[in-house]
Amino acid sequence: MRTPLNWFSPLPAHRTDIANYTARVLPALIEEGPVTLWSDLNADHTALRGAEVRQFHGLDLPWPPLNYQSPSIYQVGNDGRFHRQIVEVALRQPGVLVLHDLGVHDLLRFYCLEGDGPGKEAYIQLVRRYAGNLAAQEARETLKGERPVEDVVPRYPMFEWLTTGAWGVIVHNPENLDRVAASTRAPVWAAPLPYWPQDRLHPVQPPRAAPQGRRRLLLFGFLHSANRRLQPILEALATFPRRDELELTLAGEYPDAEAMPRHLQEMGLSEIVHVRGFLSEGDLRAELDAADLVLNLRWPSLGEASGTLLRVWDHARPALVTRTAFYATLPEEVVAFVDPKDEQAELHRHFSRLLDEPAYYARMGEAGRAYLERHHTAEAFARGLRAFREEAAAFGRIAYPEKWGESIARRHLARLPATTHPAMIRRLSEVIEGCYPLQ
Amino acid sequence: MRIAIATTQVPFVQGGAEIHAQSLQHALEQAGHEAEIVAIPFKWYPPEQIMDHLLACRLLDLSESCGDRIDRVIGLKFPAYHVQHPHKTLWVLHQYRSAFDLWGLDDCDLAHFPQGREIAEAIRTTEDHLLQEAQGLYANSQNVAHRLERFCHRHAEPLYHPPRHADRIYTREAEDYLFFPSRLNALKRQSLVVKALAHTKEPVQVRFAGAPEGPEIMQQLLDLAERYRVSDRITWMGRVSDAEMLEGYARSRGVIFTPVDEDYGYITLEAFLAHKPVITCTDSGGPLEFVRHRENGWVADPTAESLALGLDELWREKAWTREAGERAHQTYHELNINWPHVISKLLA
Repeated sequence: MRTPLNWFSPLPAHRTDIANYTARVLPALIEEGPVTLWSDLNADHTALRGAEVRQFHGLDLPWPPLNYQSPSIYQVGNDGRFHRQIVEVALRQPGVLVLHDLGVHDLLRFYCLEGDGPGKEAYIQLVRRYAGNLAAQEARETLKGERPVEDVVPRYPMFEWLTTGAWGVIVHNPENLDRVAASTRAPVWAAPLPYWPQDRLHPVQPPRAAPQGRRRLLLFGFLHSANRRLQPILEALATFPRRDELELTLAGEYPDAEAMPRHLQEMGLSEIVHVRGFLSEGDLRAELDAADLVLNLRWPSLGEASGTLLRVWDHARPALVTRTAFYATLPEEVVAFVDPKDEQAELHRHFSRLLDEPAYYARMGEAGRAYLERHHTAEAFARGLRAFREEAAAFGRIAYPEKWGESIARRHLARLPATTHPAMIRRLSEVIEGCYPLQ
Repeated sequence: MRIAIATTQVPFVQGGAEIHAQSLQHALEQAGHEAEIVAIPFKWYPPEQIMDHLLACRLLDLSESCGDRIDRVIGLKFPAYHVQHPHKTLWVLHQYRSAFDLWGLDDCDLAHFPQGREIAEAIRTTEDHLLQEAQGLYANSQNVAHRLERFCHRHAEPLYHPPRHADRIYTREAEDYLFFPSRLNALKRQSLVVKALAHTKEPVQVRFAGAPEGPEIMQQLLDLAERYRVSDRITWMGRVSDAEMLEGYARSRGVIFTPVDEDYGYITLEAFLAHKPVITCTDSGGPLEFVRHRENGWVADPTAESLALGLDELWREKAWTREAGERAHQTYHELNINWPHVISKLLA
């Protein structure tokens, strides 16, 4: 039976790679059954052919069909601008979370502290519940301005806030599987990050045959986060002795864009770094085809899998990645690693080798493309998702009992004196366990 | 024996279930037992409350009272029938229908909440598990037994009981009206009868006895009758006394009862005791356990046109209608519907 699928996600008109992810898998999802894309953000989505696109506001949704159809799929990333409303729904109607970032602490702060969110105390309580008293204390200090947010957020990813109530969780980084699985009894699937369907892959362009002028480096995507390593890359380039044999294109969004030209001038990089800003799809493809090496570093890792790496492989281009998290699980022949402890020297080493042995990197690009086709097609993901939705629905039959006691404790026992809680909750837990078959 | 009747009570709401519990208590006392109704308050919104109330029931201890053992618990309604007791018999009036047969239909209240599916699943899972505790499992009708079989894979024997006024119901020579006693609401489907009147060829008159569930229901029915130009053939009696109700049955030409999937429906049995045939619908549930088409009543499709054929038949064929009423009365007595039989089963 072709089961309808409700898919909550930012959509390509929104500037986030998760929106691109949705666009990539959509054709394969549609092959499996009718798809409704739900987004709270208004935009022109006419490019998404074959799916019904519906906008929602807050919790004003048609609940009966959403209740009757198979569990909804919620795309969750760390950016509150794109995911707050989706999380609002997911917290109330359990379904399958696609956890694109293990670290969702920024999202939690956005959810609690911005607009009509539940507020500071709710934020502190959630941090206490899922990360403990010390974390709550530190979180409180960030609210008072006594501690930088950046000091707290990376140490407490806070994904448990979302995974404990879900009926299923999908991660695209196999390294995250165990941590997420420990946070929930719901099924967890480490699915290879899906790319376009096979017939939508980019026609491979041969690597540039011989050096003509400078070798071209490319850094693209959403570069706001310090873990994309923009500044260390610029520093490595500025201190590289043969830097005039290289050029770097910056494509995408990055912080403090207006100050960038002066910054590059001060670093002596104006001649070899080209700032392109956010590119159209066609222009970005041209940049990828023209690149000799793509810089795709992440440090520290936020536990994400990289859609940008799949794009690089799609163009059969080589990529530098940090030897950490998901990237560290990749075979040596498909990526070039950078040790984060010796980042500058490692970058220099790769820059030199690119200049001296370009064929080595060209072969790596081709191997990456083959790896993409083997593991990351959208069709494979869509097939796996069909089975996983059934697994999640089966878990849904015992999902509420799983959180029943906690739910009651939150809603009712909070009114009682704190000293009565442990015994009450123990008693409730025993009685609740008697109400359903233990797995 | 000391017997606790565990049931659920929505505070300040009285209906058939409360009457049922009282009747059972009376019958147990008549049989020489000590019986007490343990009514547990119930609230079903927001949906988490349903599970909280189930938990409340599970926390109660009905094994003894003031040091004296309670020998038996008879559970009637969800979630009260899930109280824990070593000797528990369930006589299920109905389950929490929104999680079972109403799930997927317009009338399902749970589906309108974001967490509706989660709670519905929880009710189904716990119900399935906890029903195993009962030593005996009975249903108040075949319809309810079918639901238990269909949704929980549990066999329940249907156990019919007499309506409250069984020994006071009488019959009189038929007058020119058909009688529809019930609260006025969407599930009882008085609106279908109003529409059917517009399709009748005979000058059929209908008396509706029962209070509306809200002023808007009454107005909707009045407007409907006006729109179909049948207002002059309808009498809205409103809430009636027991005596008026019994007279309504006794002097009618026949009884109309066309609900949507009724659990049991005293109306059918009361009509039969008053020697009156019953018109019902193919989707009316409980009445279909007793009404046999063209023998002791009429079973129409749930459309105005089909129902109109039955109304015309009862109106036109007076002799047949009288004979069908006699057969209906006979049907009742063939079914062995009496309290001693019920009590012997429940305490077996």
